[in-house]
Amino acid sequence: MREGARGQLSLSVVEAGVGVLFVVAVASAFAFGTPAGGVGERAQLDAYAEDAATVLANEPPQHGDATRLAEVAASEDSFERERAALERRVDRILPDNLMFRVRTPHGAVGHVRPSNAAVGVARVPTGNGPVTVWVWYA
Amino acid sequence: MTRAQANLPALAIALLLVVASVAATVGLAGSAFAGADTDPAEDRLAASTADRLVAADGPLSVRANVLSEAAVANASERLEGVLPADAAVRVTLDGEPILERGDPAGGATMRRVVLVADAGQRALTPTFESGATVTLPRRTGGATLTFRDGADVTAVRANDRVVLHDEAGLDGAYDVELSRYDTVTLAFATESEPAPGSVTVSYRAETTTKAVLGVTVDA
Repeated sequence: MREGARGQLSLSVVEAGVGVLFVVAVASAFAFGTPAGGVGERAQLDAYAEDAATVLANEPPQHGDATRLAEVAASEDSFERERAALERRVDRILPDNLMFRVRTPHGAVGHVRPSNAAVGVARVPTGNGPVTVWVWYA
Repeated sequence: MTRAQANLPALAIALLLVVASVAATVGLAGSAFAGADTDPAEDRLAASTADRLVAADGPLSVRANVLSEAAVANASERLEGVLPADAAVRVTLDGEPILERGDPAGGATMRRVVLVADAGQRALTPTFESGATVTLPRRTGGATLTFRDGADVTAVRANDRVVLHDEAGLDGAYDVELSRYDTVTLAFATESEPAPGSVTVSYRAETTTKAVLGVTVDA
């Protein structure tokens, strides 16, 4: 019987390999997991969304109602009438490196929200339901 | 015999591997903890200062997120006592610094979207060609009405609300408060046809431009 050749891979080396894997797993958490400095991306995006919503909420309407937001949220008709103007206005207000979506009770304008990027959000209640603004980096 | 002997260097190598990787991990963890900013004062200061500047009652504000151009031109005086003490601060509007204290190298920057409003006075003298009414631009918060001698206007209504009334005839200049949420039509009540040019309406007109306000704090 020449079984000696089979036993050469030492069990202690295998154990050590498994042990090193565990230790490296812990190490990787430290390598990737610490927060970076600077204002957080989400905080900045939330601020942009909040600002866009505040500006719209304080702007005069194109036709009726008290403010621009109240106007677009008022009815299907007024939303359809204002949707192009609303999209243009939000596009002008926000910096060029941002994409946006605005949802009113009667429909939404803007781009489709990405599922894999940080998105800032702001909600403004109006008399006819909430208006939500999402922004993200283009 | 030969098999058992081969295990001793293997054990030594195994221990060496584990000890080396543990040492590397502890070193990595140590530097991560040392480098982590557990108290990001700069971020908080930049975010809260920017919040303060765009608030409706902020030092430069006309309304929420609307800054007054005159106040921005005078920023260094207006912002005294608002900016965080003992930190280098830079406030920019569309990239142009409007205020710099200290020399912030790096630090945290918070950006906000604002409108800059330039308020100017405009006057119009209605000719009363189609009735004794004048419609002001929407969002006019107030107006000054000046009546010339012999204007013979006894009352002025703003959207059916009487704002001025004098049976003997209005004379001189009057300030009237108007609703910012309606488009206001002023109607002049006179004995006869109002004479063109007998009334001057001056009101505050505001033009806004968009800008990005940046607050950099280096604590």
